[in-house]
Amino acid sequence: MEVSQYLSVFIDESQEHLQILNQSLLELEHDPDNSAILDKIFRAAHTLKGASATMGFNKMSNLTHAMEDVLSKLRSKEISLNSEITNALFESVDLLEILSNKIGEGIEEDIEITGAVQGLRHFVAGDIVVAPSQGERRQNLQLRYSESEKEQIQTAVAGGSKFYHLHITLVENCLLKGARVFMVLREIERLGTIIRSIPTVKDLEDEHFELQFIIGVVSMSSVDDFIKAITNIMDVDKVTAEEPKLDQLLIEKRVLDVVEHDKGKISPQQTVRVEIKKLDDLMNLVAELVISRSRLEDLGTTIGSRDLNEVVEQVGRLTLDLRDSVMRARMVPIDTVFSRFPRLVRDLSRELGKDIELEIHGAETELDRTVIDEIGDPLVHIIRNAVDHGIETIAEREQKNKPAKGKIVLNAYQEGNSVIITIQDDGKGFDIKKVKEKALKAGLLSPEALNEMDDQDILEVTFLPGFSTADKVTNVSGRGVGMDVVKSKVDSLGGFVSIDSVFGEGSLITIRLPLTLAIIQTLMIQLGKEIYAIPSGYVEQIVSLKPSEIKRINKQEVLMLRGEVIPLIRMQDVLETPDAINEQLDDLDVVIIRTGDRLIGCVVDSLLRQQDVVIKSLGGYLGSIKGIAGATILGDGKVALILDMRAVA
Amino acid sequence: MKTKTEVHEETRQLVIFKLGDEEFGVDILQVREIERLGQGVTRVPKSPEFVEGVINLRGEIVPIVDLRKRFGLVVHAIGHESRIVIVEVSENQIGMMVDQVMEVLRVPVSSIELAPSITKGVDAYFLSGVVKIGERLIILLDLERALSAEEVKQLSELQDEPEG
Repeated sequence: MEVSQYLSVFIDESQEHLQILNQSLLELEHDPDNSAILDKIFRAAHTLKGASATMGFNKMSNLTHAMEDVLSKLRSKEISLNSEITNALFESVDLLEILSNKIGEGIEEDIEITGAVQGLRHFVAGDIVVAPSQGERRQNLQLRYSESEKEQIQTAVAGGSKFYHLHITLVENCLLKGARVFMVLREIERLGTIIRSIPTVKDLEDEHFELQFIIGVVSMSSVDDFIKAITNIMDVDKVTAEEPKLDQLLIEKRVLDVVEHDKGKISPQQTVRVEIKKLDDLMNLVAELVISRSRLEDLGTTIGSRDLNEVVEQVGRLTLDLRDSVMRARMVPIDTVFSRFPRLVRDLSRELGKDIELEIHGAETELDRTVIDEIGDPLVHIIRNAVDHGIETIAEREQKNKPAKGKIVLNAYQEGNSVIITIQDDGKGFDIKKVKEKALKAGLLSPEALNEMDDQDILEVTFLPGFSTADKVTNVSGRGVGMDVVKSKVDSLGGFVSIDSVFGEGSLITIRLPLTLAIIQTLMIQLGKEIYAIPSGYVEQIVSLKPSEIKRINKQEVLMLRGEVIPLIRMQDVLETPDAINEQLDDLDVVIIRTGDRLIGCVVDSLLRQQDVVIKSLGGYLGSIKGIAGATILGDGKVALILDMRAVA
Repeated sequence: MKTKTEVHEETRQLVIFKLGDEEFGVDILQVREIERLGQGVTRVPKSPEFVEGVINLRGEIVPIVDLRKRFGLVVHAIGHESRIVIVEVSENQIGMMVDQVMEVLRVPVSSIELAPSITKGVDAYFLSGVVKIGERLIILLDLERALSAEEVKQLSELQDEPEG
């Protein structure tokens, strides 16, 4: 087999299985008796073993094999889960992760797995796994009932009937099994009502069974009557009966699955792996199409033919649908990032002797693949910070009358064209005084500047480069990277990050990210002869006002809006635009924008329209120009600049 | 330095164009295409003064520079012979506004001379040499330097000092 061709698929899939392993092991740690989770882990390990063996990665398959042995002992309840086993399994998963990375780089050999394999074997205690004997296989037959059947049984029992499971085994050389079954069933039906059998009656009559079958029956007759009646039939080897407790009846698997879905489990869907590059190409094509669409619309307006406009409108709608579909194809649930965190928090809090619970909401929220790839590291950093500096030690928490167990809540949800991610902890929060001291000591701000700032402004200081509140540099965080790295990353993705904190009670970090990087909704404005696009994310409101409504505070033009004083900016002053005319207008169009917590009114010459635009880079030559987020191509082929309103404010 | 005076028979092809009243040349290998000034140039606020703005070149955003402004040459109004010469410098496409594209010339490398410190008002720092063909003096641009936004800042600082 040509291995290299399958290598990338293998690695991708391995990563997925490893993620499942990691996540499910965590779940199992909290819920050791949940066999569904154990099954999931087993399946993942099993698949991984098979795949790695096929690809010839012996170390990986040996290690997964050893894991599988332990897991199957757990499943058969021959051993029970304890922290030693959990840790050994976690360590194996870590090793597998390293192995899979090394395989990606083309080197498997450097990694030593003997220790881990022996560690796992120790739990199995050298037992040889025997193939289940016939006896064991018999026990595997289990009757499951639907809810309505259960009700039927309950009613019958309430009416004085008994409920039995009859285990019937035919002799090994039985001929005409179907005929024997027919006689058995007839005898049973003479005495009672058959609710269900395994295998089903039809399979039994068609002889689709080995030698044993179980009948669930309600009847007024006694067990002995049944046993006597059935034993008399030829070729019946053994009959046993039990009276199962009604509250322990097994309910049909199908029903169980539904219950699990309800708990938010994601059902497997048919998927195709597509290279992200292909999706990028597709996105670029759609982007071009979106531009052509605007062009068509402009043409339609100029020509003014109704037939043309109809077609243009339809093409426009289709284009947007197509764009949305392509965008959706690029979206992945943020779970791919979040799923790393339970393990991270578990390991860190152990290391630091803290007790921390991580709560995750909205893991199914979807974001563009590119954004997902970029946002992982900043989130890791924030969570490390929360664990390390935010949440106090158990002793400290008890002293403060807080629950010993600290809590970090990670939440993601969509809001319009943005996705909001919040990270909240109930730790010690930011000490404003300490932040001030640090800022002074690091020479980030002058004492005068600090004095003029309110608490919120001071919290924002933590985003400045070179700021870190950690008193001592620990292994966990404080490695010289700080919140400034988080901020610059989020900024580069076109998002915002903000911080709220109450000293002693905790902190809340909010990250707002665009759903996609390629296309944004904008408000097009005109200034002189120039057209600019303001990303709609900034736009709070649009107001129209008379020049007489403008007030002045210390020469600064301001506007009163719902009791709030909002500074006004003439956009031509910021953008150095010649021939802006808004100074002469009697009706002023003002775009109220929000950056962080501030509102600013931007005076423009006129508002043109709302428009979805494709963001293009200005290119490496111009680099980043303050106040310009990029450019876009308008319907008429001209270039309009997209404003970065944060730099304007 | 980029002069290769010792090699015989080796030639270079130059695209010759006019900036103001002077003739300039760049190696044809650096020229991607020559465009008419079609739709307008979009001004980019807060960019260096010699950056005219950006245009849409078949879906790509390409910056346009006016070297006449940079070198302090005569700035003629845009006429029907005005062109944009798209060059590639450090993997970026940049458009140069020129008053006229003259021709493509093949010149022996040996005819390329070191530029004097100031040639027709242009600092030798921006030049890779000059070529004399009869009465004509063609100034060869060192595009990396001539188009670099960084260099212009430093240079203007240097020039300011002795004066100030």
